[in-house]
Order: sequence, then structure tokens, then C-alpha cells
Amino acid sequence: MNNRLRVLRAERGWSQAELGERLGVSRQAVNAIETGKHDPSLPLAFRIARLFGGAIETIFDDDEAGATPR
Amino acid sequence: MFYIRSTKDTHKARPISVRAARAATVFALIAYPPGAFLLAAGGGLPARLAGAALLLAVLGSAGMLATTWVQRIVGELPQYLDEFEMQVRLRAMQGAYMTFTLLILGFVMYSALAADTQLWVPRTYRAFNALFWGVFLYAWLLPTAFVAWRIEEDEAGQGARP
Repeated sequence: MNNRLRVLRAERGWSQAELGERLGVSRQAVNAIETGKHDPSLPLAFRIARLFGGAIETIFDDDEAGATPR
Repeated sequence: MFYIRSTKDTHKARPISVRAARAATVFALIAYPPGAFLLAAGGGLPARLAGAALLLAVLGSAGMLATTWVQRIVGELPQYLDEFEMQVRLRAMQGAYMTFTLLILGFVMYSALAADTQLWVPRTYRAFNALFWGVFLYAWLLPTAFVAWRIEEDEAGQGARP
């Protein structure tokens, strides 16, 4: 899953640690989400969306979004 | 599996670099069997001294990992870990379980063969004592080793937890 977390965080000038603190997760978790190594759970995705004031789909992009359903 | 918490702040873990954590886990896991064998097999004084020195070094390595973020991931109470740390723990536990099971199976097979040949098997209290602490050490450190070897330096943030 792709996401715009790094861009949104940079726009606000937050470090990964600061963002982690705001979300209640570790810096490692923020790093893993930004690099696509970890897909956040739905509750965490909602927290992220709420923090940046947008909808989940404006931050996270499903790789298969454009694929034709089988 | 076990995590020794700091009495000052239970949510903070001691920083350690991924490289140091990897070296400490591998050294402790590799050095314990020869160290325990030298000490328990009943050889001469030099052999027992060498065994004791190896075991002291193993204790130092294992102690170095206590209260670090690597050990925290495998030993902390689940409610104090976030979902990424829980995922890392789960993967580490799976790998450690497989490895531990293979080691136990290997030891049982070795014991069966050793009973029919004249190979060494634990018979004395000292030998079983060494075996017990070996199993304890492996149960404690294998999950930690899997965390240390699976996590990357950039994920760990040069070992420092925020």
C-alpha cells in the first residue's frame, strides 16, 4: 500500500518521533508505515487521517485500486 | 520472552544499535554450548577455567541486551507495545519457535544415537544443570535474536527509541 505520510509529515515539519507521539505509536512504527513495510490497522489509519484532517483514501492508496475486479 | 523493566520508567527502553544487538545474541547463543561443555564435562582445571570464562562472556552479552528496545519487543506486556512492535514480536516468536523445536528434536535424536554408541550424554547433576541453563538461555534469547536480525538499522533509528 502506498501512502503520503512522509510528505504530510514533512509539510508540518514533524519528525517521525513527533508524529509517533501524536499517534501513540513508536518512531519505528511511523518509519515502517512510511516505507511501506507495515500496513496500519484500520483504527490507526483513522487516527492518521484525523490528525492530518483528511480522508483515509487521500493518504493511503491501495495498489490494486485501478485493477479490474475478478 | 523475559523483559527486565526499569524501575524508573517502564515505557522507556535502553538504546542499542542493531549491529551490537546482533553480535550480542549470536555470541551468547554460539558460545554457551562449548562454555557449558567445558565446565560441565569434568575436564582439567584449564578446561574448566576456559569454560567459566566463556560463560561469563555469555552472561555479559545477555546482560547487555536486558532492558534494551530489542528485548522490550519480545518481553514487554502487549498493552505497552504498538501494532508494529506486536507484528515484529509475532514474526520473531514464529521463527524462534521453529528453531527451538528443531534444536530440541535434534537433541532428542542425538540422545537416542548416543545411548547406543559411546557418545557423551548428560548424566550428572552438573551436566543437567548446564543443560537447564542452556535451554533457559535459548528460550530467552532466540526471539531477541530474530528481532535483531530481522529489523533494519533505519527501522530501529540507530537503536534509539523515541
